[in-house]
Amino acid sequence: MSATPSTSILSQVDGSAQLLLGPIKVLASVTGPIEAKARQELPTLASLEIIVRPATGVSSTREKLLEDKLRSLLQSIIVRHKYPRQLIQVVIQFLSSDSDHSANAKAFTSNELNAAINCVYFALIDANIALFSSFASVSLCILPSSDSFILNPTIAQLNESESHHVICFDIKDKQADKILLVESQGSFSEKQFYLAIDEASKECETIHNKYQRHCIVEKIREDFVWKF
Amino acid sequence: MNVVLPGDSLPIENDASASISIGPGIYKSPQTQEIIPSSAGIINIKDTKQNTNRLIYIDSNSKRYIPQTNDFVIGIITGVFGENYKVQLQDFSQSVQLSMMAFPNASRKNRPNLKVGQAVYARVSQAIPEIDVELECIDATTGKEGGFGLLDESGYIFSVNLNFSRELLFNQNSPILEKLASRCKFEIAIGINGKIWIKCGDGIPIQKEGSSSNGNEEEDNKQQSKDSSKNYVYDLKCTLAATRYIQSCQHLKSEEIDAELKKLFNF
Repeated sequence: MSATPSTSILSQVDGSAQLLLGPIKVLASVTGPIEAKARQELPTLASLEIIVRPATGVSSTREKLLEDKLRSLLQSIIVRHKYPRQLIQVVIQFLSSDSDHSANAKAFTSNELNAAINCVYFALIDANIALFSSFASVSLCILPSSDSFILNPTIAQLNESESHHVICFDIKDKQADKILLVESQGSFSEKQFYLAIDEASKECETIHNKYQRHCIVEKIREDFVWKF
Repeated sequence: MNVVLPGDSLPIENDASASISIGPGIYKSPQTQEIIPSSAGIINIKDTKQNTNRLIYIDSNSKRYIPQTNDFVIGIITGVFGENYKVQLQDFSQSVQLSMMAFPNASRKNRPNLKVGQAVYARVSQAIPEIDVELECIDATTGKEGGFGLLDESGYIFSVNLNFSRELLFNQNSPILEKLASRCKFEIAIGINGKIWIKCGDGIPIQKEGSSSNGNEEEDNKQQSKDSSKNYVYDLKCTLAATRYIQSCQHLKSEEIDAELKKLFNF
């Protein structure tokens, strides 16, 4: 992660965060638990509404795909039984992105997804939504005929690469614990894949311990400024 | 300051002798009976004197209010259905109910006369997430008003963060309101849903409906209103300054409060 995220930047939502990851700038907002519409309401769980908006143009099937990926992740990480019959609304707005609509289909399944996951973590924490654990994700690509990785690849590197992966881990006690999401594209061997997972778990721990924890402690210090 | 994040383990030993009471920010998994922190914040662990009970909770900031039993809240009446009022505690949150019988001396014949748009100070009497939350405007121990009920329009309602409203309501040693009291006379109702009602002096004059005056009375009234209009303007200025003061205290260190107060009450 290149830049530290900023939280609570939107005033009309319950939690928000902005993150700059290389060329990708993303803004996530969380509202909830709020009153659900009758068709969304689940009697024992909170329902999730996830909306992804692209940096340019109107949303298309790619945004729907990202929404789907995020939903599968957030469903398992939010303590949904704590908010029965309620709605939690998550909006991801990309502010700038290196993926051109026509040319690069690769960028949104790797870098954009990765940025969205890391950003939504801060927004959820800012909104004080109950979570089972922390989580972090990395995006990496594997170069042809090698076992070496490039973390947070650029568009040029992605185009050269043989395969790229987004791997998201949950963090328990400062250690990467379980895999929450894997999104892979391209061709790769089993060995490469296991190495990639190994690499990702280390990187997720670094992200959590170096950036997430630091940022949240700072945020809490600011929230309770009168106490110190 | 001891901060925990979701996924961390709680800093408690597995001590079977003391029973544990869990508060906000802690989740007990119904399957494993394990307790985990579910929000990021400052962890508080308090033992009772005999070490028989241990209280654990996480204090964290948020903007969305989730009702809990015995919370004191400020709500706006948004509708009437049957013998209940529909009350909104926060924008877009599910509305809660306030029974017309939950007022002092209320009966089927003697109903409270509240209108849509008016604000009430109430206590959450029942908060089960699966069903509708209920409020009451009555002190359960004495059966009297006990400070609950209609908040009239002479005051002003504004919002603060939830952790700040808890600080104002529960921290007896908080200097914020004491310092404000040195500047002006005020009446305050703090709702832990992040809404505060404040009235400085006599507040904003309420126009009484149907109070027609004639002849001499009118002249008297004119004289009176000239004198009092100055007071009203002063009270109004105080109310707005106090509002701004409380809102900015959310982001100020305790030593910066005095300067802020001086700056805002400069009229």
